[in-house]
Amino acid sequence: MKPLRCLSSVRFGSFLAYSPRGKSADSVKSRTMIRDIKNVRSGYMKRVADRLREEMRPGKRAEVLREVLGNDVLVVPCPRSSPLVKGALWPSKEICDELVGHGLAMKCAVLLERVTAVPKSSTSAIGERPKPLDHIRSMTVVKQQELELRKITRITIVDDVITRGATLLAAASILQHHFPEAVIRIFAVVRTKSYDPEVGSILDPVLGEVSLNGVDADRKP
Amino acid sequence: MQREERMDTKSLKFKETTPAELLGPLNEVERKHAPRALYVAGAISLCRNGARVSVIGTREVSPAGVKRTQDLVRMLVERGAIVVSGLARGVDTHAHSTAIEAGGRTIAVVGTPLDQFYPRENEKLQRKIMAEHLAISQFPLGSPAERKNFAIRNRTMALISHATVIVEAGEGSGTLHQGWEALRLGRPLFLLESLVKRTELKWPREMVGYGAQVLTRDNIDVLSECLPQEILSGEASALPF
Repeated sequence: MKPLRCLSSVRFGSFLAYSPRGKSADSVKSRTMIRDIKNVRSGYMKRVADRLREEMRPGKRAEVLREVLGNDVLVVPCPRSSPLVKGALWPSKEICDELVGHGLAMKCAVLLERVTAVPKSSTSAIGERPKPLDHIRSMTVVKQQELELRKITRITIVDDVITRGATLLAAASILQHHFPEAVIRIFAVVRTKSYDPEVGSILDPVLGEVSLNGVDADRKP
Repeated sequence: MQREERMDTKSLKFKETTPAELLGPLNEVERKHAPRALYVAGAISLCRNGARVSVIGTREVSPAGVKRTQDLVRMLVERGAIVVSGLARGVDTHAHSTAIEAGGRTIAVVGTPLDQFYPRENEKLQRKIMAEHLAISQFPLGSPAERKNFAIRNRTMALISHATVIVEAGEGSGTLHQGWEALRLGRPLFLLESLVKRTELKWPREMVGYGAQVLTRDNIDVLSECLPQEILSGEASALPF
């Protein structure tokens, strides 16, 4: 097997948008929404998945997300920034289960785990946020699962929120290394609109790319 | 444990409720350790509006720990947070008292039924909190006080709080139950830097390894930034799109 390297880029899709600091009514609502998703508020993600399924129908706005989701896709929850205590809340896993339950993915497999904690990007100063290589060094593949899933051709790593995409680019790099024949994609329910003062429309499905820019990750759009 | 003293409850109004009624619908992880019922006295609105932060620690608090508790609580009150603690001796008592003195709001989550005082010297403080703030217990009025209830209470306090800060605690402290529960619930857990610097303690490094964050005077804004900024409601949120 070749040595593990960070991918130069990976395609991603996201369904909704949120503004961390905007003042408009929609920006404020988007922050309430992100809290409900991150806290796995009872029944909330099911309603988001209902709407996602509806919006992915032919001719609807989120139809483009068929590139990253579908009933032949294995979804893999993205690890949190630190190892989980037993029975801990794991929003990405809950999202994966809802996607499978709604026919938007074939199966959920816990293929990646965090073995050492990295600083949380959301609370780190910009220059101190962990880089893709830091994430690669702190995550590993769950071996038993890997052997059972050799024939899978489409794998999508799922997270609640994508900001720069450093964690997801690292996760994609690890999975591509272990599943060289598979098409690896990323899906995040929400993407952060860090550079725009306001959120515009919360329902804002997009396809884009996370790429390695120097030692850091860069997301477009 | 000292023998508890039962209070004359005629002048106070207690209400029986559930965690879901008080906090909104719970997810599966939250339901696992949530009590079936909660008994409350005071302003239930404190669980419906605003960010709730637990400030907790040892009963045998050092003078430096008292100062740190007071500084932290004043900062939280300035930012509009509701200070949650367990009304025990030490850090808890200083957390509640400082919040009240600073003009803030406080919630006591006690390990006894609400018609008991433990410790006895906190009777006046408990009465004030029940009358003007909010006191919560998961133990029915009249039920016996048991040592194990304090650890159970700590898990409930983690459930009620959006974030938890541990000020000072030794190995084996009951406070640690709340720290681990906060991590299990996916809620932000902060440890004061002074704790992490104590090389004889193993638990702070273990908790940091599972995602606890170190709180210093320089990064105190990290705590307020992780708290909900908007008015909260106990009702399930509608999709905003």
